[in-house]
Amino acid sequence: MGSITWSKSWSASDNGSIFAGADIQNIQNDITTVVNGGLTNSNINASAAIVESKIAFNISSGHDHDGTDSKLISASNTHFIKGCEVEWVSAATVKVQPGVLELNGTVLSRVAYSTTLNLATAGHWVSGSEGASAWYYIYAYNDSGTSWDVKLSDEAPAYYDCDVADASGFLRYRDYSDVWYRCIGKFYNNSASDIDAWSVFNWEEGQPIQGIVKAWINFNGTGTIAINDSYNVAAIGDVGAGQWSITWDTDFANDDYAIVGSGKYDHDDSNTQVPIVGLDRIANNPAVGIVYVNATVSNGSAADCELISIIVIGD
Amino acid sequence: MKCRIVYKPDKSVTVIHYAPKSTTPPEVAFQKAMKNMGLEGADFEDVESDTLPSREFRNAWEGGKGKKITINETKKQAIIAEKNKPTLEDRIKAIEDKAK
Repeated sequence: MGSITWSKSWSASDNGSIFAGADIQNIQNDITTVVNGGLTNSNINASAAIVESKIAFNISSGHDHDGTDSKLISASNTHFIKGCEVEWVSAATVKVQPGVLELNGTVLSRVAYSTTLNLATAGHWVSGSEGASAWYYIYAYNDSGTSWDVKLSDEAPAYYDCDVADASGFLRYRDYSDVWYRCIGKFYNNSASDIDAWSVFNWEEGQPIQGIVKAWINFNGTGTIAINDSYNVAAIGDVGAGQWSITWDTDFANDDYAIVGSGKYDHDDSNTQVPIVGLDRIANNPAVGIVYVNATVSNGSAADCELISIIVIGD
Repeated sequence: MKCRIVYKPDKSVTVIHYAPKSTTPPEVAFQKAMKNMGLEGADFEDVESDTLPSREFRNAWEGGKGKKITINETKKQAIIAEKNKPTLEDRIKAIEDKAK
């Protein structure tokens, strides 16, 4: 049996052994069908084994993974998300790229950009409204049963999961009027009420989470100051011998965070003492956006160290 | 790498170094650090960090707009004197030697 079943018998017009004019007419009809894209599933044999790479998907409009002519991603894959990247559009607008995500046990897909959210549009907010010098959050919601769209909120996610409203892990969800929303991004609206392009984050990568290190730095405090590696650090200030300030990328929610540090002299240094790294005693240290640290030796002298490490945990 | 020298009214200087892995753009990070340190509006210059002087006399660094960083000789001598001060161990040994 061939892989393609033609719509008409090529021998129906004769006695089965003679190739007659009506057969040629049928062949012409079938060729016309193929040329005009008229092949259907009924023409293709189940064992034809046409590979997916030979199928021309519409790359402009894409296709939904909604279970119709596609395979659904398992909804049991809780927290699944692919695509859905947040984009800065203008000082007042953001939008989200197409993608697939799980929300409250349903896999939702979207093949086009989301609604472009405008801070000035009341209908684009599920909670709150535009204000200056504030972080705002972008939430996806189920807009049609199989697709998602987005809204703005002034509130951070409150739950780890939808079904149990658990707040013990990485927070992604909020419940507004018994409708679940999934946070997929955030941004900062600055003092001029403009969205800072640098502050637009996808939620999974842009939010330090509770219970783990929210900032750390490893730097060389001797010679030319060099930051070896860091996380959530914008810059360090060389204030004086053995004195540095550290400015955070994302400020802490309050100044009650915990800081630990260590220091090390170069092994060739004649000073055999072990440096002590601690908080500078200046007023209001630490603050939500900055901390001052000192390295000293036992006689109280400031000490530049070859290696300074600082770890911070807090809200 | 570029760093920012901020000149304070008392002539001392703070040098801000950008964190390469920061998610904040350099100019924004510099401004944020200056603001957090109460140095908003202060004179500053951006220079290559390898052009900064040796840190041996860091607390003698002074500067002003257009002058970059200079070493205050008086402060430098005070640092040298402090470094040459006998340690506690040296002083104990001197007392012990004297008592012999």
